[in-house]
Amino acid sequence: MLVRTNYLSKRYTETDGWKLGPYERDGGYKQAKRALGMKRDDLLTEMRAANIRGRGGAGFPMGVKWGFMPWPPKPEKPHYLVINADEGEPGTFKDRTIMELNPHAVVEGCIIGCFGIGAHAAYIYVRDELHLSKARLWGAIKEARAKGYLGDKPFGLDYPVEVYVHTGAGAYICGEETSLLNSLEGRRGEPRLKPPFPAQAGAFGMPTTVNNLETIATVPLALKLGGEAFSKLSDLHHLKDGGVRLFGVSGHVKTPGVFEAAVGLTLRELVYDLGGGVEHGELLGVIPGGSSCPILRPEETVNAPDAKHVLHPWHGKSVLDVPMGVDTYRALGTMLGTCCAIVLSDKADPVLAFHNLMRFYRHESCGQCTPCREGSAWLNRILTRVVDGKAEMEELDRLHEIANNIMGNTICAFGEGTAMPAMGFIKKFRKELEAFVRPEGQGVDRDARARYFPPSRPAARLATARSGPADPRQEHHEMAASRPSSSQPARSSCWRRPGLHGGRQEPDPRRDGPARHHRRHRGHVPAARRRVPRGDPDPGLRRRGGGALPVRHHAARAERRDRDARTPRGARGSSALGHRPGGRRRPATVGLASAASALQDAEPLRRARSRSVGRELFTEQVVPFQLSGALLLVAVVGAMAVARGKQADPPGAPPPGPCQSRRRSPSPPKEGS
Amino acid sequence: MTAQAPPGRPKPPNTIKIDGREIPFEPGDTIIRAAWRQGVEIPHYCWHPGLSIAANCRMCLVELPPPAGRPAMKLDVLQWDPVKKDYTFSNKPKLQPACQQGCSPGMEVLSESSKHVADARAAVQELLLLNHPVDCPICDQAGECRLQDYWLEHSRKGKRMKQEVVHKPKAVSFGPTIVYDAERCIVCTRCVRFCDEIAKDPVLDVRERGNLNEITVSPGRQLDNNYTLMTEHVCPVGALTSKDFRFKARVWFLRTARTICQGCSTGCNAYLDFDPRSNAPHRHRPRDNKDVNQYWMCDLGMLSYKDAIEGRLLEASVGTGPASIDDAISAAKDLLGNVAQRPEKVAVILSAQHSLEDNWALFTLAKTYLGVERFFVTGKPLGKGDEVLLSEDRNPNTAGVLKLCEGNPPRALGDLLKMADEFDTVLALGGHVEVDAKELGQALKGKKVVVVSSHVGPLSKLAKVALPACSWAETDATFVNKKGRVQSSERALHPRGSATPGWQLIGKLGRALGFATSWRKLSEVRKAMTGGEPASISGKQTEATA
Repeated sequence: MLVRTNYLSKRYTETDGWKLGPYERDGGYKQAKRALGMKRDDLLTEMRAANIRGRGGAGFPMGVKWGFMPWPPKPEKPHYLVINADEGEPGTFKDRTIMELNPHAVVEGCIIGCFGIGAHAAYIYVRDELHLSKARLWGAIKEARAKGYLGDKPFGLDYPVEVYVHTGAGAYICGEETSLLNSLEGRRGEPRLKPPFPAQAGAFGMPTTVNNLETIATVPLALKLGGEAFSKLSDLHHLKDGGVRLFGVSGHVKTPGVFEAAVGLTLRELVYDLGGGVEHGELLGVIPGGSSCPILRPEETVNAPDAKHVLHPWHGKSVLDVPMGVDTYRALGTMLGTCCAIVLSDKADPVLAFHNLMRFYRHESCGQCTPCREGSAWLNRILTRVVDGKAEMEELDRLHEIANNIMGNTICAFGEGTAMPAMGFIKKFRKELEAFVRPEGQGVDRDARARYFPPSRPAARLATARSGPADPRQEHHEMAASRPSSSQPARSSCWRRPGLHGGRQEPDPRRDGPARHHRRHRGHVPAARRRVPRGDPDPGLRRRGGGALPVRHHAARAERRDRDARTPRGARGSSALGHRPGGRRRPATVGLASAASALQDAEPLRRARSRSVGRELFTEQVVPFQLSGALLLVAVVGAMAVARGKQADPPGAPPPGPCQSRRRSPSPPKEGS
Repeated sequence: MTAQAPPGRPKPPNTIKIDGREIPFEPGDTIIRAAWRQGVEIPHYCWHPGLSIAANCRMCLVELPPPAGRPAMKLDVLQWDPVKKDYTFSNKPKLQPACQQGCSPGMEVLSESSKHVADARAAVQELLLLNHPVDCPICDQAGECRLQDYWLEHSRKGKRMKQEVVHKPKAVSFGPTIVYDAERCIVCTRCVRFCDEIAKDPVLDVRERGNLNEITVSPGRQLDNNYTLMTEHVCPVGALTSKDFRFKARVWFLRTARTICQGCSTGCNAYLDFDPRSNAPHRHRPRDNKDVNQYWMCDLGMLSYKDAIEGRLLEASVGTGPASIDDAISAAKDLLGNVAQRPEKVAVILSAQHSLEDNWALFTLAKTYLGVERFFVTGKPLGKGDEVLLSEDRNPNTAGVLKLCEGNPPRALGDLLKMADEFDTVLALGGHVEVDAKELGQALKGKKVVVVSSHVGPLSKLAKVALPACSWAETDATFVNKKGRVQSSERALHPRGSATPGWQLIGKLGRALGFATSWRKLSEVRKAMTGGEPASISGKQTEATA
């Protein structure tokens, strides 16, 4: 049942809503003060009654997790609260809205959380790329400290609390809690073995609770309403899945964005009511909560004839009508995850989306355990061959075997996070996969596919205008090149020394020539002088001695992007974008992550962005990012205007119209269109 | 368990069952350690008994059936149904790594007997070889490579990925002793953990991520601590190779003897690998002994196998000219003359470099038959030690010599230089000395010096008569390490040149001088040495090698 709420996102649309003033006006920090005066047991009881299920994907009850901490704390073993804001799951963009638009809720939640687990320090581990989020958090901490809400005597009470923001280095795996702790300590971001669990030995070997950012931001609210009352906001209160949370929807929907609603919303409501319905065709499938959750197809129905089964009330109905809860979704064979759904229309190619996903997992596997390290790369390699029309049926039959062998055989949940969506796609899109594999081995019928994917589609232009390279492979290369080994801030910063290893000697431009010289340095080669063949025949293949993957020149890239933004998709030459060895171009929007990222600037967030241009900021570091954000915004706005025409806001959307606030912003002329 | 069982209730036995076989365990044991202690192998790459647990290779996965009445943890897997032409979901139990899972009394473990385990291991084996260059014919690890062993045991399939493998750096020099091949590496991090935990020099780490992972040396550093060759030894595959051993031998041609390292007084237990066809030693590697060296050896010790060839005294000499052993002994007899009549004029130098048998023979000849009272001891000079294994004293048998002369401790060779005038005859063992060679030369000028030595050194050069003794590798020998532990070393090689066991030479010399130094066999020496007791030999030394 759709119940829109306005607790967490109340100030999302307000000017300067992220500052302390508006937050305190709405009763901010009163709960933190109250909590510090409570008995710890009472606080824990409230939190257990609130039934806050972890918002980071696993859905573990937060109150129970707090209760795992050893009690009372020993003086020689200080407790720590660590907040996971390393929001890296493709398609997920809810935490950043809280950090950017409601950062004081996080700080207040941290104060209460610290008290609840007996900690005096909270670390907020923020994904490196979220510059505005970090700035807003820093600003909020500064404000709170100036007011005396943090420090030795918060609110004049004798319970010291400090909150720190720690920046990650851009590795997906660091969203895994023990990996995050390693990264926080300055080690290589690799998951640790469990046991010991973080509650026994976490950050710096001390008892630690790791909570998702949205989880901790919900805590003041739960305390304000009272645990039980908060839990009862949810439709799934009886399943101990309480309260309100942020739901995101992206992909092929008309109004992508982040929406706050009570738990118990169905996927259909998320896609059609909040997301405004499917854009460009009919619904093909939904990845319900971040890319690690197996995809659901609308024609699937619930099969739970057993009256005791958690899904029995929805027996025979479409999976889209099952309320989105941790337990209900687990029973469906998928996961609720982060509650940020990715919608695929039937104009999207599930095989390419699958390939895109697996490329992501291959790139982000930390490589610690064998099955995940090799398995994710093998899956990606086979899919690359499938997409290129080179695969054989035998290889197709291997996909599920590889996924089975990753499943459950790794240290952390990344393995399952790779295997489960893979299994979902394999099972649900076998026919589409087979279509790429011709028994005669002739590759794909290009004409048929061209008919299937009309070359010029508004969404295609949108993706291109928004984020430049629409070829995810190119994106991947750039990602790899710009952050050679960002997963390891580690004890050594060895990746900076290209001359250290055999085969990667210091370059000699006289001997190597400019192209080789630059390639070795992972640097940039002007397009005219480039001698390295464009495009890597196999992304898994790294040439001996070369070290780096091919890299595009910034200027050339920007130029290409501009040209692509101006040129209709059909009119572009094959060299412009997405040229692949098979000679076939990949339709631009079908790549899942790129589509999701193109659309993930949800309405409220976009409004915030536009507002922030030229405004006073908390810290000066963010200014360049703000400006570049503004330029990006212009492109997005322009493209959106073309794409959507003058589309009305969906019913039930928050009142202040995006257009107004956009008009208020000092935008340069719309060059993007 | 140390905890007392409640009275009246029998304490549950500290055993687990692996494939139905009872395996006792000690508190704190993991499954793999308990099994390893009993000689039951659970296949593994990353686990090493002396290192921390990494659990990253996933080869040791085992199935743990849930206790009765509890549901097993199941995971969904996909199966292809060729009849229905569709996928169906089935499930498999969640497997646990045996290297990480602790033992609890009565626990049941399915290793070889579970199909799920067999499948998982076969899969891990296949994945490990997926991007492996499979260059066994030119790989030094071939023949003792776990990838080969486990492929035979668990996989036996051809490569199913037909495309080019991922290429990574090859033949990267990590330092003066080690070469790294990233393509063969399975990133088990044994070498990284060894450097961190044992060598206390965290110079290695992993870089990159996913299947581009490779081991790297810290910027600005080399792998140049005292234990670099151990990284090669702990490497279960051919990723790290020793520059010393590279391309020199194929391991299946090598034979092995259990020896004692000659590098220092720690007395590490070692294997000496040698090629019987060429009678050449090829490497030392550690032999597990948890009381002495655990699982490790230092570079100095591992390279000390070369002493079996280098710097050897291989022929007898009289004056400056070569001679046969018999000629040299008769020359020595002539030189020493009526030495028994003037024992106070005789200095006897024992050697901390030579075995207990050699020292015992000289000591007995001098003390019992000649009546000499004044003994000296010499050996290699002190070096720099470390806190892991390497001792400052670079002689394997210092404690043995001291033990031999109990009650009448031998003096240092420096003292002999000061009181050189009191002697006219020197009977010495060993070539190496810790004093300055020039000073020694002046002190021994004009004296009757007879030396029995395995190696050329200042002493053997000064000798009027020098007799070539076997090195430790060429004879069974006994050494006493600095903790007083008596350890025996096996013969590996045939004696080079005219080398003869030192105790035999001394016995011959004694007989030539007219004494009843009747020992002709090692067993006789050992029997006499220990007063009839069988020699206590190195003790428990055969723990299974990981």
